[in-house]
Amino acid sequence: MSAARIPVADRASVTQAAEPPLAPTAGMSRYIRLGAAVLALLAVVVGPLFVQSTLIQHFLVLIGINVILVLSLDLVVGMLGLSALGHAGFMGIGAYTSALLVMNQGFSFLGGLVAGTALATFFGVLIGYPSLRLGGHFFVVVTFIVGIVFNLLFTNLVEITKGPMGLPGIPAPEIAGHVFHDKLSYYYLVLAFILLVLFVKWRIHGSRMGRALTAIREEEDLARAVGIRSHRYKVAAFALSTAGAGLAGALYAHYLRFIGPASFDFLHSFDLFVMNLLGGKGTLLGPIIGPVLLTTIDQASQLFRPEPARIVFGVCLILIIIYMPQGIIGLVRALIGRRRP
Amino acid sequence: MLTQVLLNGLFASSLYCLVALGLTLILGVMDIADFAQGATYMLGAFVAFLAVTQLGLDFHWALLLAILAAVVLGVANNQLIYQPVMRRSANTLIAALGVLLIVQNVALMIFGSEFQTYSAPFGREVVEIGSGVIPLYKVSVIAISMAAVPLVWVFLSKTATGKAIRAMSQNKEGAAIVGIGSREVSLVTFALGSALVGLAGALASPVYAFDAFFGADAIVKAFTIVIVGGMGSIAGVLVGVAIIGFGENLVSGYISTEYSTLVTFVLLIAVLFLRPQGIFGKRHA
Amino acid sequence: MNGQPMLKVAGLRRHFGGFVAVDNVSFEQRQGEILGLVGPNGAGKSTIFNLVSGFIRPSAGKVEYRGRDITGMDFHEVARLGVARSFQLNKLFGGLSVEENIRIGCHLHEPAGLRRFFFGAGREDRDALQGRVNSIIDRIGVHALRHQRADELSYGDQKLLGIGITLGSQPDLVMLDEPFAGMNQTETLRCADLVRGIAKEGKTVFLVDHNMRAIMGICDRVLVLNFGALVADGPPAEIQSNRAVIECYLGSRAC
Repeated sequence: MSAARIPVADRASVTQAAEPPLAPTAGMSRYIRLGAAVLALLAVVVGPLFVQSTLIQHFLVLIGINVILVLSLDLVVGMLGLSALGHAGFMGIGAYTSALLVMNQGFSFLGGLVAGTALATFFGVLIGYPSLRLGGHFFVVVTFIVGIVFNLLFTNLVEITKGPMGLPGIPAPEIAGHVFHDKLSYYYLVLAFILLVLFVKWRIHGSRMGRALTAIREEEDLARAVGIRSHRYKVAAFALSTAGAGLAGALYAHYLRFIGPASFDFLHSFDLFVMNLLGGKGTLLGPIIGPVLLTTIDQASQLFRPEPARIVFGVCLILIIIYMPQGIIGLVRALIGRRRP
Repeated sequence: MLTQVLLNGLFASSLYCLVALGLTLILGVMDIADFAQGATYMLGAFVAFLAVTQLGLDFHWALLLAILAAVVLGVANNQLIYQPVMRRSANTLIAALGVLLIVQNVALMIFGSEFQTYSAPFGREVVEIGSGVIPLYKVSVIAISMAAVPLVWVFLSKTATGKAIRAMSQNKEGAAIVGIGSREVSLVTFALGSALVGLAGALASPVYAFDAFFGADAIVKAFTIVIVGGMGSIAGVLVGVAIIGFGENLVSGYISTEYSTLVTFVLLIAVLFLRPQGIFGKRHA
Repeated sequence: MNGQPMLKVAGLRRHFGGFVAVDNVSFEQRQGEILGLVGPNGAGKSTIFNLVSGFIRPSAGKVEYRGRDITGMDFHEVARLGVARSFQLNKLFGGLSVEENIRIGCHLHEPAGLRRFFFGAGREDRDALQGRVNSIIDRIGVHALRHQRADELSYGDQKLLGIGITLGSQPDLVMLDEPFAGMNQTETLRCADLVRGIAKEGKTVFLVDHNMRAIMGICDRVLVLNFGALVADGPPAEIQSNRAVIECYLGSRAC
């Protein structure tokens, strides 16, 4: 894409940000949009029933967990416009908390889930409160360091986390007597949570809070001048995003039944960030498309060598920030926007 | 015991010092947190290694080649990646991390994942200082690093190019009006900064076993030094090296190595919250 | 209208290092008054503006709004008390539409709460909000542009939008920072009408600008500032014949 075309992509994608960003097809009638949504829902609910390969089922679960992660990350990256590079650390907090409480303290799966989410949120508030007062450049460094610190803690607090060897034997989830021990049923468990998180995010986008976050992102001084308490909103958004990370972490722990510090390192935070940017930050569909594409590439690559995927991620990232800052959704919106008279 | 602990730390600290010098230059003048210098460090190590083991060159020629390679990488990175990114007002830190990821994985594919080692110059010659011993090679590295600081300082304050660079870092528009080209300044800044980092990587390579991820934590430590000392400040680098380098060393010597890194990061976060401009840095408007 | 002034500034002082930008400035503003602040470039007008609206803290002195001490208060808290301000460099939510800009301006008066978050605002609330947005859009006369991106508007329309955003919070004190800057004749008249209309509603307006004609034309009272100190304070007619004022402008192209 040549430089001259970028403003058009930005323009089209953002004028449509004036309406709730439900779909790239915002110009089409409501019924088409509704129909597309129903079809998509049908596909994700019914489709996997026909999948025989356990490998693909495994991919689906991992994609699902990444979707939850990126949807929550987008609250900060997309809606607040801040780069955050420590998301995997908060995921790890949720994972370890839930795993340890269920294994050692007899918590139920849902109890562990709630506890993991709660602790991740707690740290989110603790870290967000002071660091969101700093400028964006400092904030990204803080999140980067925090992610690394969490990882170091997972590695070094051996008495609690069993250190670099990892924590094996995490039990599968049990809800009301039903044990989710096969990949397909786990997929539906994850899907249920995706729909929950998606619902919350959709509500945020269309609400007073969402408008306030957008205002803060676009022009924070002006937002404050109209009375928006920007710091509170920023901390709230960050806390919600870390809550999502904690939730995803707990789901991850009980799926793999084994976690180690390496699962929650900087590389993972970076991957999630790239997924967010590729799909399209600040949208509802972007945080779904990004993880679907990149998790598939990553997992497929893992079967052979991990390096090519890493290189693809890195190249993707650079190309996106230079040529496609609004991601795939932005690109689609631009293409559709230009076809309209 | 203390002397030995301190001597061990002095070598690592002098490496961090060189890297921090390069980083603070780039950060202070160009306002870019160049994490991709981790790749430059690694490249310096590999080039020196290959020059000695494959080409049979003397170590000082290997160092020169390493510096050259580092300069090429750093300047290319600036021209091809950072300049376009900055023109779009996008985040250079993210771009830097992307470059680092790419170069590390390319190196991984080329060289594989084994650690490389080779022997340092001066063989097993050691120097005795007090109750401790330190290899002669390490002493020479420390000397090089200590010499680099005043050399860079002289360059920045006495030469025409150096003064131009300082003018740029203080006032971009003012400098442009007076006719100081930002293109030349950015070229020299990246060349010098990358040279320092590449040199550090090359000097480190005979001592540590290294792989494609070499330099990743040296970069993070060096950045901590830069932030604690104050971005763009040479005095800050010296103070930062003293605090971080020796602090970490003492913790790792008397408590444990793992916790030393933790301590560094906690310190970094504390600095970011309490005094983000560092000890010698200026407050951003 | 009770006896106390809307805005009371006493002994306001601000220095930056050794430079005294605002030197012992005191004035009052009554409710419903249109007060203008003028002075040559560098006189300290913007500094006073920022001090009153809470953007920067004074080195000394007091600012009272409706009898309440707001000195040094965070500017979003000041906004929540009913003081709205525009920006000299005309900040807008550039990527959003005109309508969205104003809707955000109405943030303070949009009902909130968890029930509304999950189930959406009821029809009544939505209509009320839309009504408020529409009325502001009509006030500032940008109806045809309501779906345009804010950063694609003409300069004059952008400045009007800036004023429109300040109206969203239904403020009692409207502070405008150089509203006429860069406007041509027609735009200036349009803007002046808008300001008069705002005052007619009972709002108090505090203006800073360089355009003497516009200021003298719409203000009830004018403050003249030079080198950080008040040189004159009175109705336009009095100001125009004031010797000290004439002297301070001699040799300056600022008017």
